Order: sequence, then C-alpha cells, then structure tokens
Amino acid sequence: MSNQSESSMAPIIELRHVDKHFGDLHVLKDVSLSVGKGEVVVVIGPSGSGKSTLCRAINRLETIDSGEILIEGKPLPQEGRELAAMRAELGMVFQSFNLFAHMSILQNVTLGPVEVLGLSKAEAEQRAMGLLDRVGVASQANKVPAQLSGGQQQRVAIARSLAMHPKAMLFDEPTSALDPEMINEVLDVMVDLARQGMTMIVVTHEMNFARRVADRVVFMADGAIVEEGAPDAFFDHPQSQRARDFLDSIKGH
Amino acid sequence: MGLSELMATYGRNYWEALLSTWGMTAFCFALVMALAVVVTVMRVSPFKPLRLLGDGYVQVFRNIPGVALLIIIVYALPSLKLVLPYRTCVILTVVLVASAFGSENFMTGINTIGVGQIEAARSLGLSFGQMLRRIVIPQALRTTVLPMTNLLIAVLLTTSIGSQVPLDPLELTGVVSYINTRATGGILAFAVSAAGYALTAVVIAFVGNRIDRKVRIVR
Repeated sequence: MSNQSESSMAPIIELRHVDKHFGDLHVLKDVSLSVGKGEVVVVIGPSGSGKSTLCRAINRLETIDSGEILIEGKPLPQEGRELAAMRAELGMVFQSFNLFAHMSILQNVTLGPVEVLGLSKAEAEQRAMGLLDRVGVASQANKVPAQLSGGQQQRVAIARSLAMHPKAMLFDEPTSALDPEMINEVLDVMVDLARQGMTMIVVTHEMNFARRVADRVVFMADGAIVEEGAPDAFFDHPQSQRARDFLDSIKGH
Repeated sequence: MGLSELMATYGRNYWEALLSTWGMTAFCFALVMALAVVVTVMRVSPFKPLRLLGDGYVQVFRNIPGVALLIIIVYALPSLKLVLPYRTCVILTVVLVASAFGSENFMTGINTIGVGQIEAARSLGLSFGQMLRRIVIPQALRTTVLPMTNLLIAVLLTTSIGSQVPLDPLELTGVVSYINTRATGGILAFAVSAAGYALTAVVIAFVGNRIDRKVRIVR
C-alpha cells in the first residue's frame, strides 16, 4: 500500500485515552475513539453519560485533563489562531441552534465564510443561498432567527456550518430542543448529508436515525464508552448489561 | 423681575448657555460611549490583568461624586504639572464618571447574549476580536438603547458641574448664578434653566424610545 492511500486512511478525528473531570465528577473516563473519513458515528447513552462533553471536547469548547485529541493526525491546538483555524474546519450543530439573534438568516450563513475564509460578500451569499436552498429555508433568507420555527432554525444552523466546507460535522443533540413534528425535517437534512459522504459524529436520542444512518453506534454510560458496533448488531444484540438496560428503558417510546 | 423682562435682558445668555450645555453633552456622550466600549472589552477579555483593570475602573469612577472628581481634577492635577482648561476639566469629569455607568449598561447587554451564540461564533473559527466586533458589541449596543438614553440624560444634567468653575460661555446652571449676581431673577431664573434641561431630556427620551423600537433584537 502506498503512503498516499495510507494517509487517506488516517482518521479525521481520533481521541486517545481522554479524561476529564468537572470538579469531583469524572465525566470522561479513558475515552478512545476513531472516526474515519465519510464515517457516521452515532453516540447514544443515558443523560449525564458524557456524550455531549465528548462532542464539545472535539472542538475544544471543553478542555480535557489528559489524553489526546487528533484532527487528521494532528493534535488539537490549545488556543489562539491555530485553534480558531481548526474549529473552522469542524462544523458544530448545537441543541439550542445558537443562531446570531441580531443577524438575518443569510447573514448568519455568510458571517463565517466572509470573516474566517475571506470570501467576498457576493461569493459568500451565493454559497449561502445554495445551502439554504439545500436545507429548504431559502425563502426565509431575509428574516431574523426569532421569526423561524425551531426546525427551520436548526436547518439554518446546519447550513451555517456547511458554509465553512467542514471536514467533519459534530451534532450535539440536534433534535432534543425541537417539537416532535419538527424533528424529521432536521433528521432528513442529516440523512442527506450522511449519504453525500460527510464525516459525522452525532449525539442523539433518535434511535431510528442511528439504525438507519450510522456506520457505527457508540454507547456511553458514566463517562466511558461501554460498547460500540454496527447499528443492527448493537440494537438487536447488545453485549453489555448497561446497554441492554438502556435499550429496555427507551423501548415503547 | 418678570419672565418677559428676564428674557429680554438675559435671553441671549440663556441661549448661549443652552448651546454650551448641548455641545458639552454631545461631545461628552460620544467620548463616554467610546470609553465605555473600551472598558467593557477589557472587562470581558481573556487576559486577567485587563479584566481587573476594567473592573477597577468601574468601581472607582462609579463611586466618586462628580463634584469631588472635578475638584480633584481642577486642584490636584496642577500639582502634577498638568494644568487643563476648565472646560476640559468638566468634560473629563463627566466622561470618567458616566463611562463607568455606561460600561455597566454594556455588561448587562452582553449578559443577555447567551453563551450559546458565543460558542457558535467560536466554533465557526472567529477570533476573539471578530466575535466582539460582529456578535457581542452590536448586540450589546442594540439591547442597551434605553439605559444609554438614561445615561445621556444623566450626562446632560451632570454637565451642570460646569457651574463650579469659570466657563466661557457659561452652561445652563452657571448662567443662573451669573444672572442672580447681577439682578434678582430669584427662582424664575432657575426655572428657565430647568425648563431647558427638562425639554431637552424629553426630546432625548422620545428619540431614544424610537431608536429602541427600531433596533431592538427579537428573541
């Protein structure tokens, strides 16, 4: 095998023995995880299991106590310009959308490309309109976030991340703050992204999404990865008692 | 002395004083806003000494009476070989005190932004400066129009400390002393100046409300 194909096999995101405490609480326990190009990894687990912290640590919205996080084989920068540059390459979608309240939908999506990537306003707007169209909210471009439904806001947030042409996308419970009838419109966008080969880490409670889209399911409990595997294997034949208990507890919902 | 006689004799002085008060108010407020932004940026900066300096500034100047600060500036600075024109002393006093209050207004505005938007900005790769310029300061400005309107009225009224030093032209409070040492204007002489302050404040409040309604951020 040539060097080139070897390097293309290098994981986009890799965590090695990551530990983190919040005070006395051990929120991440020796977590190791590797996500390859184009892979969709869904992280599930009970609340408080550390899955959001894991997601946030990957673009250093949370610091870690020990261990290593590597992006394309390079260690995550600690701060400053390099950290900002790395963050620009990882898309992040939050539970609470976090759109910029004083800007129009269009401005929300053009801000990053103009300020960080140095695109002209016209180029950024063209890119933004294409993405807003792709997530189905192009007709809302001139409104402000408060005028949109939660589902629409979350789709704008996804477009805002995509406008940076990220190498991978992190989703931190993207549908948890949504009314039930809006969950699917967001999941549909995410399914499309996955089909188009986007590398994704998705923290979610949407088991059907995990089963349909995930290449791998990672089950976390009490800050540790307890079990991981292909979705069918995991959901139909969970190996650990923790996973069996968790899957039983959400059955019938 | 009746109102018509008062205005016939001193109308011109009042007019000059009103313009002087307006001019100082506008000039002071522009500096107040600029300094308040600088102090607030220090207070939210990631660099601890700057944060302490910003907090210290606010604690010191929010808690000094304007007149006391004016006396310090007029009488104490010359012993440091720094002699400023009287008008500059008045402006400096007003700006130092009011910008401490202005920074508190901005901090309140910043606290309404929410950590989520800051995290979103960071995750797009924005630098600290870009985040301030594009996300934090615009929202802080737009959510603090009403408190800043109050501050502008406070600045207007605080310029009256200019009556404690010789100014030429006089401002609206000083002109009353000027008139009452030359004629018996009595309470009426004060009333005319008071009307000048009050009418100006009404206009400021009206305009402030209109601006607030226009730029307020829907959440």
